[in-house]
Amino acid sequence: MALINEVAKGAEKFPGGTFLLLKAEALFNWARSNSLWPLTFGLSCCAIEFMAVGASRHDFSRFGAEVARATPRQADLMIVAGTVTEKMAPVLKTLYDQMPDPKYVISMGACATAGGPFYYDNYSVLKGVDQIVPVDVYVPGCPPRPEALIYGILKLQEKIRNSHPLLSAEAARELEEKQAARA
Amino acid sequence: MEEMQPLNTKPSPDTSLKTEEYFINMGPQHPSTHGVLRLVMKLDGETVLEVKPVMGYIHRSMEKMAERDVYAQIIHLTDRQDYLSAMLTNWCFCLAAEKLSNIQVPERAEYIRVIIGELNRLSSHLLWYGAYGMDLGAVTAFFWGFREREDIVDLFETVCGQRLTYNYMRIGGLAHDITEDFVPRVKGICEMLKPRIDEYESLLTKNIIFLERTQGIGVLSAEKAVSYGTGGPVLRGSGVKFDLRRDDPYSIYDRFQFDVPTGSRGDCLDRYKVRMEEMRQSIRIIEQAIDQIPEGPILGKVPRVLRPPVGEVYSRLETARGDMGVYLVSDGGTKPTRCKFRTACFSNLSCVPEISVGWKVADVVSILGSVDIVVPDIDR
Amino acid sequence: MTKEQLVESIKAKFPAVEVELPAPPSAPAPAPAPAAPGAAPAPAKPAPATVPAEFQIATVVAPLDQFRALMEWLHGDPALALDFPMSQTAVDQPEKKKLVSVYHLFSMRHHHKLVVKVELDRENPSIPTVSDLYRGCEWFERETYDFFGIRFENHPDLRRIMLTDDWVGWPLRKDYQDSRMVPKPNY
Ligand code: SF4
Repeated sequence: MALINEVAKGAEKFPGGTFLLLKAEALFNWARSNSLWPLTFGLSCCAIEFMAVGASRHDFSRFGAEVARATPRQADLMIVAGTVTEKMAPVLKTLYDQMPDPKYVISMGACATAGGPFYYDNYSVLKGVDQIVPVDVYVPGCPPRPEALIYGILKLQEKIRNSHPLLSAEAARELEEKQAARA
Repeated sequence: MEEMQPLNTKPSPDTSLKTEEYFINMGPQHPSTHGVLRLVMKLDGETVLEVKPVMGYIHRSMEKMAERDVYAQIIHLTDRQDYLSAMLTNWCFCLAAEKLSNIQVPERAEYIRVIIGELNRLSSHLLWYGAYGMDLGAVTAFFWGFREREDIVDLFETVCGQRLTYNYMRIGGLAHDITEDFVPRVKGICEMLKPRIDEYESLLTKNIIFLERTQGIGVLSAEKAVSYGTGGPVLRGSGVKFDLRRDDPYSIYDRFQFDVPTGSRGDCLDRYKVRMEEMRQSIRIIEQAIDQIPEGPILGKVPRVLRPPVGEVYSRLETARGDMGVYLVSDGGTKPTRCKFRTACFSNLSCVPEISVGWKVADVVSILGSVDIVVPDIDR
Repeated sequence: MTKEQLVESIKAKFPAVEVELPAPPSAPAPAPAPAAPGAAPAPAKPAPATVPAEFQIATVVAPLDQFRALMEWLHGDPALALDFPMSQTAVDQPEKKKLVSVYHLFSMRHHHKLVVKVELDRENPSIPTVSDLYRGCEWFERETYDFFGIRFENHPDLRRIMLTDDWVGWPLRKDYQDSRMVPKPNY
């Protein structure tokens, strides 16, 4: 990836380079968004709904996300399904660090989002997984319905499709401004 | 099925080669621990010398929260312990609170509780069947188990609006009445499940790979099972004919006919068979109860703010995993002074270190699956 | 065995044990003095509510020095055969400066239940383990140690079970303080 970024930096300087990069980005994003490999990472109740999403009726392989991996080294999407406790937090951080880039996090359920039903009078629950890892999509619910999780995955795909992995930050901002002006 | 000789015997240690003992971690993130349980294993080659479960990764301080909540607010906490049979854990807490404050539950509510409870036992065992099959490499079992479970979950959704954490039982009765199509749908589910359970059995029970991985493995003797305080299918798999529904009856279970299946050897296969038979017995109970639901109210006479008298109760109930208990101590106020949840999985897991010694690492997966743990039920 | 017989037999063997339940049959309340003719009848006082007797389990309070002998006898005696550990936990009573260790026992053979309580000093609670008699109590006792800080003598593996090893304090005691705990607002 580092090499590609170097090349991209160079290409940006040439006239029409941005256009080429945008085309390449579209290819990258298309591939990334349609082959999300989630990490099998069930913490508590929400994990059952996560399993239900993978099972017969809901079946998220329709959206290219069915290859649930048991090891973080092969996964690029972490679905935090359940309550994160103080004892679990360092483990979760390690798992996140072990995942290769680019990596995404979906926080599933009220617990992972903000502590949920375990917010008050509680000495052991972390109040939201976003205190330790960056979160891309929050899915509310206790537990969220399988449809809600699928919607969350679709939202994440949308987010990936609109991202700019190759363009430099300035060029991306310029582009966005241009688009905003046109709209 | 005729009795077979045990295929598996404990591998005898090979003393000719000198090896070094070492430790490995299974979990906290491991697909076969069904959650965030960590097993620290001391191994000699592939042979397990010692297993030490490390739990608490999902300890959510429910007992502390229960001391700060009024009684009716505690019900939602029990949902999140054994979430696969949440109706039954709800019921266990309500039972304790009803005993403490001497509340009568109307007949209609009792019947609906029994039917819903048994349906929940079915759905829990179905999920266990799928997960256990998956642990041992039979992916079809996973899809089959979930397929039928969805129908039951749909039914629960129409009665209480939730798929997993129901919060349906109330102290003194139920939250909502059943819908009109409830009775025919339950009958439909029973009819649908009866042949399906035979189908499940045809997939695994005589499958040679499955037998090799379960028969004779993880033997728990009856004495040990009692001493460890195990319950449910783990206890009965070891040959102890004990079921709280029959031997310490609560609610209206004394009105129904059902058998208590037991195993003979106490291995993983026996625990599997007990669960499969239990599903059939649950259907039997539902079929007896479904036509007798009387008319009437669904909630007894309950004061707006519950203030139980000074005292304490301990109530037990047979959840899908075993013997669950709630110990409530009241000082006469609106909140309990102490609320202890004695959960089935906690005690069931405590026997795992003993029965896994001497087996291979892969057998530990099979043993854990056959004990059927739900990790938040251990940690609370 | 009925509850009364159960506590009778324990009382016969261990006279120092206090019986908490079942309560002795209370004497019938004295008949109210006949009201003076013409005076308004005194409003009937509602009887103080209690937990119904059929739900109460026979309860004994054992002195600490006899506790271990009592448990061995309860476990081994064939007439009692209380071999199933239903639960072991503790109750904190800060106003009495006591921690009560509570054992719920059940007999698989006779289907009777018994509660054994031992009152411990809150400052320095320590009690002999029963995990060799009841294997299931090994983890129950670890949990009680973790949450209440009761030390169990001769326990094979007395460590924190749910919380991390470096945790400070005993969270289920009534006076536990933690900066992470957000108090519940009163609505
Ligand atoms: S959000 Fe609700 S269902 Fe999900 S883990 Fe938390 S308590 Fe369980």
